[in-house]
Amino acid sequence: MACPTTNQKTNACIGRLATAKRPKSAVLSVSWSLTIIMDTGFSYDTFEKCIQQMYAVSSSLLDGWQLENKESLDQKFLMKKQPLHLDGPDGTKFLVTFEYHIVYNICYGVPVLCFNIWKQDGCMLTLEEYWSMNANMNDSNVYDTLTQMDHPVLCRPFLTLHPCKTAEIMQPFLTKSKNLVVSWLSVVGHFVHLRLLEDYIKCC
Amino acid sequence: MANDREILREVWEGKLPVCFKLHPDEVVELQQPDPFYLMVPRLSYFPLVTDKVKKHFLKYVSNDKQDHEMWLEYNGQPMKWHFPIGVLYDFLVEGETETLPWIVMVHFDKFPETQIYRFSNKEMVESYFMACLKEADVLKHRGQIAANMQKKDHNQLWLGLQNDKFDQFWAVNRKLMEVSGESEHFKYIPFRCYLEDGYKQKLVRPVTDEGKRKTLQDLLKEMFPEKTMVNVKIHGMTPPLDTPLQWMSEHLSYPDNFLHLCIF
Repeated sequence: MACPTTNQKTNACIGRLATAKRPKSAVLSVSWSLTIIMDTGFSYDTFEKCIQQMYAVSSSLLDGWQLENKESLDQKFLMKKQPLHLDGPDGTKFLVTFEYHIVYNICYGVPVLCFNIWKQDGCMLTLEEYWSMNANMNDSNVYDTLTQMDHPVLCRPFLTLHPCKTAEIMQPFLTKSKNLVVSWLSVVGHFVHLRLLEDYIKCC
Repeated sequence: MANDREILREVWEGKLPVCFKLHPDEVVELQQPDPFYLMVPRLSYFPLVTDKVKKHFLKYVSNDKQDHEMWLEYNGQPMKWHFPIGVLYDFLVEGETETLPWIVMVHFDKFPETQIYRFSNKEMVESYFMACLKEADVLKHRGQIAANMQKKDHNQLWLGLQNDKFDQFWAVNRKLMEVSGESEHFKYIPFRCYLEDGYKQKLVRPVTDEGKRKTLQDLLKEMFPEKTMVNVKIHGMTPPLDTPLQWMSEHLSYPDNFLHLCIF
């Protein structure tokens, strides 16, 4: 009867190894050779239902998400501004305002998280400045993970978590979650200082 | 697969004469600098061709602005350097004002950061270019061709564009322009329609449900059902409305693999 025990042990070890080898931000980085694009079947209509639901939660919590619409494109997206203290390179804290947008990307057929960060003097934090202050992503390559891209609706520059891995991140939730946008955000949000209150998780 | 090679080369060799002038407000020397003339490839991006322009004007701006990022303006609008040069010209320079050389203002002060991207280094341009290329492949082949390429292929695409080397670029790009498997066409056509307040994208297939080839006219109908008359410009020309979409995508796409259509 020794075999099963050994096997269990080995499996547990392999499990640990697999987790240990995978840097915590690997899930976000754009690795061309490893990318598997899957058809999520995640349509714009499903996206809109998800963000409507989030907006309803936010309206009861008053935590600041706004539902925006661009008439000429008939595309809705969520937007939120949030002040936050970031750790500066010299250890000091300084106050910035994040402006997060959750938008639908038509090419990838997935939600996209894009944002801009404003300093108190009204200037924007650059990609490199933010990178140097973001301990969540130190072990990945900046240009593979965050890209300055056009906002899919507003066509203005925003720092964007590259959408090419999103389908993969969403895959495990596809059949289980009732709100895929919330499920996906709960995975990727904290990499860029966005945290959702537990009330949202109940939507899933 | 793209087989009208002479057309690909013709498109690749499209160039624009540009006259760069430093904005008078930024000149601190007594003497105004001479304008700087350059012949630039339509398919390239401004940050890839303006190193010499920057070097030329730098000595005329105040010392504290010398390490600022240079940016370009045309007709009072900051130019979005992440659009290919040819797209900017076709879109910004209206029919009547179309005189060459194209006069472009150079700035070092007050970078319009909410309107245009920063480009502190060429890696940033590369990252943006590659993201577009990949997005196009998601539309054409569900991303499978780009994903199966090796790093050296990506480098070759990028260097081919950066160094204006047609053969180097197309040796790899032809794979992205092939149709995969049994299919005779792409899944969707990667394109953007440029309008006054940005651009519009939609999922448009190159064939109808019955398998009939769609044309440029079909695409315009799907994009602008309410408009009867739409004019399109790409690479400085007006393509015939009965041009098949699949052919257009293979031959008239920019290096980022998108058809950039300027709509009037």
